[in-house]
Amino acid sequence: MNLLSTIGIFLIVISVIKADSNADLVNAKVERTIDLTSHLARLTSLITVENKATSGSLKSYTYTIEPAHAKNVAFIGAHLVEGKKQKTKLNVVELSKDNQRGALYRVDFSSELAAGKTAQIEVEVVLYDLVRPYPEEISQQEKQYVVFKGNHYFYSLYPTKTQTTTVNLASDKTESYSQLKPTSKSDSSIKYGPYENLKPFEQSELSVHFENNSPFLTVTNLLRTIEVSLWGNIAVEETIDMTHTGAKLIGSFSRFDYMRRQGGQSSVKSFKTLLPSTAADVYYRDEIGNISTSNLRLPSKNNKGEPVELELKPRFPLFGGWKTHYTVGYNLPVYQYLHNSGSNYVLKMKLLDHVYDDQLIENANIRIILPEHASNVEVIAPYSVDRRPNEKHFTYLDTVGRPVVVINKKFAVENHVKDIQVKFTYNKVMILQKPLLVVAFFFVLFFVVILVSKIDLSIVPTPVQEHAKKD
Amino acid sequence: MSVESMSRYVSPINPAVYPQLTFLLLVIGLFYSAWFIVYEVTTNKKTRSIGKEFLMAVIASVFMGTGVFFLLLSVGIYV
Repeated sequence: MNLLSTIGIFLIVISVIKADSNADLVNAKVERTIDLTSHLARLTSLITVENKATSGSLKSYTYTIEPAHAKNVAFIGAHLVEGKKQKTKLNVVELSKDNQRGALYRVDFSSELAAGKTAQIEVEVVLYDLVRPYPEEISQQEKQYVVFKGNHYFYSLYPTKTQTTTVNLASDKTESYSQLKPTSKSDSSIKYGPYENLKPFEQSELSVHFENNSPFLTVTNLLRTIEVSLWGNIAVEETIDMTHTGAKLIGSFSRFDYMRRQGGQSSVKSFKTLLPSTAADVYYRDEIGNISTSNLRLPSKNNKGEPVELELKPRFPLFGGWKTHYTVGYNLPVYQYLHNSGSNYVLKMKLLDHVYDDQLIENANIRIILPEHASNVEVIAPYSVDRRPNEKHFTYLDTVGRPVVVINKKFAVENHVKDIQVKFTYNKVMILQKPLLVVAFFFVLFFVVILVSKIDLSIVPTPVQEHAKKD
Repeated sequence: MSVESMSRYVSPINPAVYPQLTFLLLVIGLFYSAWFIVYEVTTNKKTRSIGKEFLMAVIASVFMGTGVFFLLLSVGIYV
């Protein structure tokens, strides 16, 4: 029985592998771009898929990420390229992740790919932690060099006919780069290929060692609190722990050299956060109070929809391995984000927002505080998130507590700046509860005064005073 | 039900008028509170009318309550 079931599972596995290999598919032409200008590696692959079968159409394409990169995927997205500028978003589902074949993703075609036809799809992958500083420690005077290791070939489940790779670097200064003919380098980009007739899962190590002084910032912890008030306001607050994850600083830090702008190119002086265009009452502070080194640029009257730019300058420049902790908060008008119909409400706003360009947030906790007495809370997330059990939040004039939606997301990048929808029901009459609570408090106060003035504690009855009688 | 078919939620009172509203309500509330207190101290148990006391307490607490509530909102404590 046990043997039978083992064989059964084995057969199922085989059939799954067969099914997702879609033997008739061929990558007719692949153009890869590896963007290494920041601390994230962005892989964009423009794939011309050909269905070689004589009959039968195909529903999906399996995109594969090599085993060495499988654990570092922050984001994957696919588009169907129809014209020069026309792109349709395609659905991507993770199939499996292992050390043998890497990570497999299923890209669903919007319409089935008929036999003998071709389609062009563009797959974008953002990988973190792969552009590593090398050497790992540098002094203040030194420049930061980083190393990236990848694959010369397009790693795929399917055979590839012809393929080229372009690696964009942050600077034109390279220590070394792997050469697999034909290879050509011009300024800050290296072109590999074309390579022809590649077998599935073919690998050959690509390695580039180059200068990269772009800000290697990582948000290790982000706590984003969104507090909705039905009296017209949404308060957003982000508490951020940030680390410079580039080459660590060894030796002493010389403020004198730093001010003379000698060295320290890889350090971070300031960075820009984009806030929603209607953000008001912005604050930037930490444990000891307001940080005065910040600039806020409001959009001009002509382009109202533009975001508000907040330039943040931490109290000290951030060198490799240095950390900072701060809080940024602002208010938003409720009418832009909250929609309703009768007693059904939907809050639609960004689950995560821009912190800095090419951001990487390792661990994001999002707390959405809904109005008191909101019930039937339902969350529609734009991508898979870890939803934690609801909590209660108590603040001014609360009686039963406000429901809090708690969401956790690990390894988020700019592509994760998307809207979340939170549905809830709320009885409109309950909005009067809070003012009535204050009214009741005052009435009790007056009532106590009335009662106290009625109490007579004297032993002898007090005679009616003359002047009062005349009134 | 989708968001597109819903209308934008607008707060019952425009937040722009909160400061003026606060001022108006608190002035009326303080006037009635003052009247109530003056009435309490200038009358004695025999001459005091419970109905008048109650009426003044109700009016004063309604205006003071809503006034303080909008004061909280206008200073940025969005409850």
